[in-house]
Amino acid sequence: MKRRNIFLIIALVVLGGAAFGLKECFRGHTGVDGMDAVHAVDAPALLAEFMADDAAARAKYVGSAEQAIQVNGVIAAIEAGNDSIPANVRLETGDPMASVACEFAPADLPAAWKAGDRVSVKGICQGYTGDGMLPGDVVLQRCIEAEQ
Amino acid sequence: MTLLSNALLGLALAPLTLLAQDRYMTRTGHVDFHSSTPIEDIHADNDKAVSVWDAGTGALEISMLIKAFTFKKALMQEHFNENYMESGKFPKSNFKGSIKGVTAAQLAVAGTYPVTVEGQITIHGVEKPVKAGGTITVDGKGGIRADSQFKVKPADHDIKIPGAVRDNIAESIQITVRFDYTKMP
Repeated sequence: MKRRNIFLIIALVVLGGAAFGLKECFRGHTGVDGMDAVHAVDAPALLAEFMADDAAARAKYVGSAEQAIQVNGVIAAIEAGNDSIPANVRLETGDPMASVACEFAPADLPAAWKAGDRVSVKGICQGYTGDGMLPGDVVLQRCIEAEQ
Repeated sequence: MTLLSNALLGLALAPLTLLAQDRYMTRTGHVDFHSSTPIEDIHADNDKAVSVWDAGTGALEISMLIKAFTFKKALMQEHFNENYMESGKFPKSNFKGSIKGVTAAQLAVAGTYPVTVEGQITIHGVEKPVKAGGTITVDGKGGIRADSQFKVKPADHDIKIPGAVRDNIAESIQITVRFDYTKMP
């Protein structure tokens, strides 16, 4: 009886561990809607911080653990996505060669948004793509509309 | 005097104007990598690579954020960034080199041109020479698309794969690049 209980406990632990491992292996990305924005910033100011000091801006907005930020700005352009490419909302920065590029799953992109609208976006900041003389964008991924 | 100043200014800016005429860029370049082993396939996409190509000289520059590579599985993405690519320490990967095999004049004519891409690629802070074949496709409506595929060995870039998952990750990773260029203003 005692031995049977021990086997049962071991079997439960092994099964529990396997279930946790499988769940962890196939875990999807955390939804941004359930995350609080740790910073709120206007698009031109966000770009300016990355241009001034990329390392400091990365430490603040990208961080060491995944975090959401809110960016407020005016839509410069919307590039439609499809099943394999996310939609892209570009926020004006005052520099025609740079934007805050916000990736949306096509289903998360508000249908009424258009160029010129003032919007707020919540997403995961991944950094500034430019390098040296190469122009670039500040990239936000898994974006959703945020309350203004 | 004003006319003379304007003429001198025009002459001074002329080389820049000519230079800009042959320069193309993208800020939504697609780069993906694929590792295939009998145990599992690993795939990630990045649609935010930036690139400037000077068709006059052939000079090509590419930069991308490592963190902008997206995986279907969150755990894979976390391991990729934290354990293998150390994206906090090496946030970007870049390429500096040239495209050979197509001239700026050919870009006015629709067609697909085979090219060779050659230069230095920096991954995980380690710079290595790379040479790959590819194509430049001109669609006749001003669209220019560059495609290339090549392989990269993680070991060449000091990317350490733990023994426990060594059989899950291919020795050579297939990189696919697709850039839709537009003319720079």
